[in-house]
Amino acid sequence: MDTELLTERLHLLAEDAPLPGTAAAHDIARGRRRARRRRTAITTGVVAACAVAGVAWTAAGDGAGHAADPAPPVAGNGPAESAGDELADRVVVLGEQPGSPEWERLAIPEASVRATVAVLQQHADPSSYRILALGAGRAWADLVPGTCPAAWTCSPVAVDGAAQAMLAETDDVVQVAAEFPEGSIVVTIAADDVHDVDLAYGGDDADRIRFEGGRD
Amino acid sequence: MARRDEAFAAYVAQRRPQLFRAAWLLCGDPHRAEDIVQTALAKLYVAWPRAERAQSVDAYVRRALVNSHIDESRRPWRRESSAGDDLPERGVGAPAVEEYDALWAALRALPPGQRRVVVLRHWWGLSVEETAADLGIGAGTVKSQTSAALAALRTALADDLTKEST
Repeated sequence: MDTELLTERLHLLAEDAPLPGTAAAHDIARGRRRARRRRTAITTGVVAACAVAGVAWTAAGDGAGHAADPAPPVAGNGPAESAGDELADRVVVLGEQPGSPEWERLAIPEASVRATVAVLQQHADPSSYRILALGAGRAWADLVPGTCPAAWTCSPVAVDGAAQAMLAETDDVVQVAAEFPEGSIVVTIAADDVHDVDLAYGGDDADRIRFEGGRD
Repeated sequence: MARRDEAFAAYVAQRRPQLFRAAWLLCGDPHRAEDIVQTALAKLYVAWPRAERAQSVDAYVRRALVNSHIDESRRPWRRESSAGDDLPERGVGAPAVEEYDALWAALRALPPGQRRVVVLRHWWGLSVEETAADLGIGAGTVKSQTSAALAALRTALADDLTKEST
């Protein structure tokens, strides 16, 4: 068979690869450096987000002090809706950042992203979270493993327009993954005291997940 | 951390040669292959607790290796090598040098996507579904790329592959 012969030849070819004599200790050192860079990037993102929030808060205070005719407070659940819209806006912006060709090809509609964020907000208060992430993959299995990792609680949820969706929660992280016709996405928010986030969905592949504030 | 390092080191000691060979077949350059393996293993180290817990270490590192190859091939400063570069010497009992050269050249002449499919399916021995999952493409695409790659290899190796298969 051609294919069997090809397999045999490929193995013979690969046997002659000039293997370098690299010690595992060097791989461990590189892995530690990468983990440290990732923690630093996330911490930097948190600090930047806090700084921006602080400036916005100060500016809002100054603006209120000079306003001649301040708007009356909105009745009902206006503030909560406003916070929700802001979170959805931030996630949409994450999705619009230039990325890999794979990411660009997926072209998840904004309405799908917002529908996923809406479900996320039913299970987490955005004001108490600082790290926000959006991941995408062509296949559902790219983002959602068959089993729920230890220490996580996973359950199916309904997301508008999604064929299937899952919620994963810990004390510090909430994730919602949803499968749409164009591809699958996962939206994550995590508490600001979580530096090295172990995610249930989306892994840490840089091609498939992006964090506010940057992540290597 | 110590337990992670111990388990990771044991895994690296066992799998590194295989990862390097795969990367070498993918990119055709030993220096680039080493870069790819280092990147994939660094990603694996960071994700080790999760990958180990999910019992998907092999799948994770394989996917990281392929993604690292894709990322590496996009870099403008990557090392380029011609079809015959970095071809090691053959040992005793191996196929004739011209057959070996022909396979190497034919593999290098394949488009990167087809080469990845060939390496994953015919060297790593993955199924269509596993290959599709690793590459983030559909099973149909894997099948069509496999078919196109085999046709190209058959044509390129007509003088030796088809002779031996008949």
